[in-house]
Amino acid sequence: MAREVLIIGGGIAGVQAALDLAEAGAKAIMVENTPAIGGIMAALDKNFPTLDCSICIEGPKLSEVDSHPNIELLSNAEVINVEGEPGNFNVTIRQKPRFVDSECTRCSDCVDPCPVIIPNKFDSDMAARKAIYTPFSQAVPGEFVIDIENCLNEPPIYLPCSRCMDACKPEVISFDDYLPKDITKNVASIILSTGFDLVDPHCLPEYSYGKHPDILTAMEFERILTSAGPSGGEIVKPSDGTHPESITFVLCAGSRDVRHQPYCSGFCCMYTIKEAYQALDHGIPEIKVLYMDIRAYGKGFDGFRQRAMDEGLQFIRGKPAKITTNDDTGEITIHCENTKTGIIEHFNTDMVILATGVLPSGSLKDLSSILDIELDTDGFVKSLEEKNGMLSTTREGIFSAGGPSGPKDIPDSVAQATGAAAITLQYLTERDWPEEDNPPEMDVANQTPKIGVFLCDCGSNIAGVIDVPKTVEYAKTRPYVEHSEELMFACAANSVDHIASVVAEKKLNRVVVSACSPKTHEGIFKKSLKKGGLNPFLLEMANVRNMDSWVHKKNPGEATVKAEDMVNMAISKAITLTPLYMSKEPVIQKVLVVGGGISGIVAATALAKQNIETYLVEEKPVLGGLLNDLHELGPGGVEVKTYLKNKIKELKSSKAKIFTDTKIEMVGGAVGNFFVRMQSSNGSPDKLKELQVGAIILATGATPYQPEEFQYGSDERVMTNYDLEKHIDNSLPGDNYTFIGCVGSRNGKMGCSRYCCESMIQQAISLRKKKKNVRIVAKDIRTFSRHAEEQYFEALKSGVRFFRYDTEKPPQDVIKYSNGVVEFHDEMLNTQIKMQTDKLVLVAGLVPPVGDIYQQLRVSKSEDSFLLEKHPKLGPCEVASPGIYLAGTAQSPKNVRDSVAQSLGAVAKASALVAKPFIEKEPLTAKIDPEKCNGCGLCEKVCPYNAITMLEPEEGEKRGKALVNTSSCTGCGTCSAECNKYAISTPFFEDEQIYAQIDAALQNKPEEKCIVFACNWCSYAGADQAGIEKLQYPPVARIIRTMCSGRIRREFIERSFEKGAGSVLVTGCHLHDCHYLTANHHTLKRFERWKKKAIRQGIDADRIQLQWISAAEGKEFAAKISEMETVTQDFCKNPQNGNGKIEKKVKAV
Amino acid sequence: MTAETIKDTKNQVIELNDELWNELIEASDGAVAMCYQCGTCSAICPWEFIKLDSSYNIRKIIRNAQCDIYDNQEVWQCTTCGQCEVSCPHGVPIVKIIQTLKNYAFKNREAPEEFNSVFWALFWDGNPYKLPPSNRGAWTKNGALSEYDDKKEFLVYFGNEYSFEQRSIKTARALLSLFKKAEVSFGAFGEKETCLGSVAKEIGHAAYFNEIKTDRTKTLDELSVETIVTISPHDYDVLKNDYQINGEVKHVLEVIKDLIDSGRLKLSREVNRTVAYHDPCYLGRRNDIYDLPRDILKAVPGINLVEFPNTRDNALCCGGGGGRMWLETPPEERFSNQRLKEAADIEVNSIITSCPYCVINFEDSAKYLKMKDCQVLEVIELVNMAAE
Repeated sequence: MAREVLIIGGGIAGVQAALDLAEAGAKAIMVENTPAIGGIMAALDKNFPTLDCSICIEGPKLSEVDSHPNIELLSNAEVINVEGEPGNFNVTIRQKPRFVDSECTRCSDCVDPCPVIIPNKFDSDMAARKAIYTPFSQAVPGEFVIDIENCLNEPPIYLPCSRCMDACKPEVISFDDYLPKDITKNVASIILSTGFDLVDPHCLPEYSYGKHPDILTAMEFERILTSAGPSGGEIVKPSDGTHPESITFVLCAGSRDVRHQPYCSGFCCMYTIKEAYQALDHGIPEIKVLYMDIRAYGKGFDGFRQRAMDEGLQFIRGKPAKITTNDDTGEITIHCENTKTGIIEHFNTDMVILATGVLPSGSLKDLSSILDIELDTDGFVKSLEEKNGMLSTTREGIFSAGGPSGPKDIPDSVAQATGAAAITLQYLTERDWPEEDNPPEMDVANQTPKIGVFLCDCGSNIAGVIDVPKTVEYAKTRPYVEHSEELMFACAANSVDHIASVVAEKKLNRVVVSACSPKTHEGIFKKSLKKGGLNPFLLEMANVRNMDSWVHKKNPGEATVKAEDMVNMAISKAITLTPLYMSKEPVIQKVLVVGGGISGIVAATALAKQNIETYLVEEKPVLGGLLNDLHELGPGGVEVKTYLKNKIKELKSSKAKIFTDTKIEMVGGAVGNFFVRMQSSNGSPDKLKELQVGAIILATGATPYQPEEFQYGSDERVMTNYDLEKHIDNSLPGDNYTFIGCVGSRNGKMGCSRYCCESMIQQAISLRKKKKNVRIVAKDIRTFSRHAEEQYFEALKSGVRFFRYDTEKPPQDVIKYSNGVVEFHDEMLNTQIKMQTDKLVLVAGLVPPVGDIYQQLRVSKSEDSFLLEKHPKLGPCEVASPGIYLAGTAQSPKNVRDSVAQSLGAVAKASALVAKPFIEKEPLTAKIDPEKCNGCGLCEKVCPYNAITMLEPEEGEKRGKALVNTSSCTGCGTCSAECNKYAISTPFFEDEQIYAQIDAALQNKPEEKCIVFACNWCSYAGADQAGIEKLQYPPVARIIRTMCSGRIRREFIERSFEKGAGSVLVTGCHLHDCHYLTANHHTLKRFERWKKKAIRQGIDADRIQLQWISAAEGKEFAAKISEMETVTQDFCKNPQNGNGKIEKKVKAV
Repeated sequence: MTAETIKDTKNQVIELNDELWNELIEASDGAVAMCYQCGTCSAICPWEFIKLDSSYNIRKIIRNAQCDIYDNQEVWQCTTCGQCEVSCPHGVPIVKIIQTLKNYAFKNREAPEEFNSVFWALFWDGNPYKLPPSNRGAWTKNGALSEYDDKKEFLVYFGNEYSFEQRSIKTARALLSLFKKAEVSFGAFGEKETCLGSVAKEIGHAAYFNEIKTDRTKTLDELSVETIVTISPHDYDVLKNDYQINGEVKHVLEVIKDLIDSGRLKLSREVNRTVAYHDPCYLGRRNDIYDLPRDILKAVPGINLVEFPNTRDNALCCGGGGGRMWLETPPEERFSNQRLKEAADIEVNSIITSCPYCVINFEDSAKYLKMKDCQVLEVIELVNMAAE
């Protein structure tokens, strides 16, 4: 019986694969050859394009690996032998000694006495470490490690130094076990996620790396940007420690270069733009990026590029021939041609950042022979693309995720990792979920509150703006606060343990964490409480990072005041918290896959192979979607007909139930229990089918843009790339073929369609082989995928002619076509070009599908109308609502290999959910106090889920009491707000808890504040988003979170004004987007009443406002708060109506 | 298309001509199609030091070619030094593109008229110096050069410069002296020697070069020479890379190195000089010979060998390749001036090289820049000074 999977490499891909497997009931054995997991992502400062703090989003995952009962982590270890076959591999792992055992408390007392000082690799060698060290503060495993190579000791014989041992109070250091240990494991399958290495810039002598201290690699610069890095997050020149006035970024240093790596390293363009953006943000006036093509191909990437340009980032198209340095003056000079102007420039710059290319991981070569898998000529793993995209290696049962199959960014690596987890699940014969080992819960029922407040610095993310020590002291002055403490990274594994131990030690019974968003981090801190023996619902978070320090950077004084208010609000709420218990809800162990394109086919097959009951529904009569019209997939050259035939065959031979020609009429329910009604196209009533499933995978795909440009449809010479694909195998008429790139994409809100450049080049090569004259008129050529750059070179060599039109404009504005002649301005020649064209091929972008299923499922959409993923970096396969997953192009345009990875990713997530017969449900359901209920039935009328029934009246009663059906109740609180007897309580969002927050927020200078009510799913997430995007708005808002705007009752508004609030803003999801179906319609109705009443009472109409804000609308949130600030300021200047307070008392609760 | 119309293409509409494009690809062995226009070539080209207004742009020449136009003025300015090729991330044989474009100009009878007399001289006299073939070998004392036979160690191909050009003849004499000291027996063509055609090739007349090549190959193969030694890097390059002759082709420096290593040549006289070695484009970048001359110089007693800041594959061109020797270059536009300034910066008293063009150009520049103390020598000459 096997449920073990071996994961080699503990970067983000390995970590994600391990977590997905662990959640799905597999046992993940992770082998990492360095002392800590986290990989390159842990060393990055921020991620693109969201500017998320990298370690902040990775850190929680590392902690989870550390604590998950289904994961065994072997760090400092290497795989040295593999034998056996899929389902039964015998693996030998050699683990090097750490010399420090796991009882290490990370007190770091051992570090100071250590006499050895060497460069810290984690800091790109720009800072020092000792021979006993921890690579970074959030490192997992957390215990320190002795770098025996550099330690003075050479056990067992030569032990001249014992300084660390002498300093170590817990006595966890020992040199006794000095030999590596061999460990054998039996595993069902193996995931290879060894990441990648970077080109050594010394091999590019023309760029003078190493000759001048201010010429750095991007990775070095990343450490400079990091608050935990060598310069504390200050951008300084290593040469003299001063701030640079100008920085020049050089792309493709060692990639796209036949002398080094011929392929494109994929993500350098974006991290460069991100670093450049950060540099601008740090106030460095002149930032240039030297590039050849800007490959901003992912979701939101082009928008980010635009934003950077708007902020003043200068892009110069031209690869520098050399960078020279002057030893006397210290000047650095860049020599390059601006290919747009044709001017050869020699300009000085204070700093140079080289975007060094990606190399296959150094360990890959040896591993490939140990694992007996083939490598390609480029040194990366050879993928059997027909099998599982880039995931299958040449040996059955061994899969690759992330770096080994070519350079890729975090979301693509994560999608691959989750996808690889899904395939490996097929090899398991058993799954299990051992219980976590936590101490028994302390009974807090009759205790007076003893609150512990933990305030996170988040490196400099919070502490860089807010005076955290002052806030710590402030918290100590609040009632019931027993403990108040500053933490550098509260979410680091050691901090999580630390909080737990303080809770246990001081017998705290409430915890407040002032850090970031509860939406991302609540789960982690709940763990602290559990470990400390406390009910996890006795936690309240103050979202100081996303809603304060990130958005009020220029106003640290007021931001600190706001932070104190936020902490005060959290403390006040915490006082009133009571223990709550998760309920177990049954899960229907079936999955529905919507959409029968390649993503749906792959997903359904993979699920069925795991013996999960799977339904695949496709509107069209045939399966295969867009692939039916394709001939060959670029750049791998997969022949589509056979590929699709085999995939469909595989699906049909699985146990998945397939419904083609079938439409989903209605879908509803929630995680674990969705209901679906579908109907076959011919409409006969017996074709109606109803299903119940526990999870839904949306593989609804995308559709090619239907051009209206270039006389498409009226001139028969004009076709799309899809039209061409249908005929590409036949004899084609005409000699002159002209492609126009980016038709319908890279325009306004539509980003890059990602698949098109490589597919266009594939078509161009086929046409060229048929002796056609082929011209490509495009913006940037974005051949980032594996082998795609090589194919681009192939196309060039074959004589395909490439032209470049204005990147910032849609093609129809700058390219003229009439009567077989194309005319445009070529940017590389700076001249107007005219060409005879027999066939004009419009390379159409992908546009999102339409339909109301997304609305029915409350799945939000991004700015570009593709489905909004849970997190752009780490949650590409999920949406905000649990139980619904994304596969393929529904989330964002992508090629087939990436779609396959993502749909397998969705499978892993769905499989983890439905493999267990139940899920734990948050205890947020409404509770009715029968003593107070008078049976009026108002709550029954407003419940969006019909979860309330009115009981028959008992004896002596006029009307029966209301009863909540907890399995249907979703906890929106709409009923509670409606009840004028205050008989319905909503756990964690009780009336008194919200009053406590209002009162705390308005304790000082209430007239200057705006109370903002925000719903968990949309507007609170929108406010989070404003923080993520670092949008600056005035520090006037005091945000109170409820699950839904339907929870807000009149008295909350009245209480706010009574306490003197300057203004009140009610926010929620857009109508029809409400996470609780129709709940916010009630908000709208109620709001109109509240407002009228407020006006009657003399409140200025502007002071009470309503705004719908989606999770993606950070900008809108920031803009609205700016507006509210004006209102609040006006009120401060002209206070009317009894100093702005409502005289009337709020009814007692 | 004439030069005028090309200069001002901004307001003009270029109409693509695919026939020409396909022709250019074939003629350049695909070189013209390989370029993705990154601009490293234009930024590294030595013309960049001369024409500070970016008016010479090799990337644009290639782009023009990719758009079916060629710039009749600019192609002739290229010295085919190959500096751009070193920097090119796509490995584009840029010199090949230039040669293709030049050849195209010859086909269309649009090449500069100055070259006509060079070709006629080649045709009538077998050399570009317009001197009668009987003058070849006139610089030697009678009998100094004997014909090749199989008892000789090798055949020396002296080439045009070492036969006709006054400064180079000094070097040739040094070589003879050196061979005498080492007791080397070698053969030569003497009066029968004819140009190997590197001039024709570099000027861009592919057809004529091929004609010459076919003719000379026949001559050489009939002689069945085992080893043929060239002195000029330009001769060495064509013989090594374009000709396919039966014997082995050696550069004279390889021979000298062997003579030193085997002890036949004893370098015992001290030469107390600080020298820098200048890598000729056709020996260095084109044929990867960098260490050989340096190793020889290091064997000379008393020598202090320093390096130019731009050295080896970054060495600055003297300006003489690509047929530039046969065109007038205004003194202020000479690449060699730049190299001399570099020499002044590193304070050397001799520039040592191993190409006749480099020597001629450097000496001209030394005069122009009034750098009287700067001596320009070939490796051969220096070795001869040190040899017993």
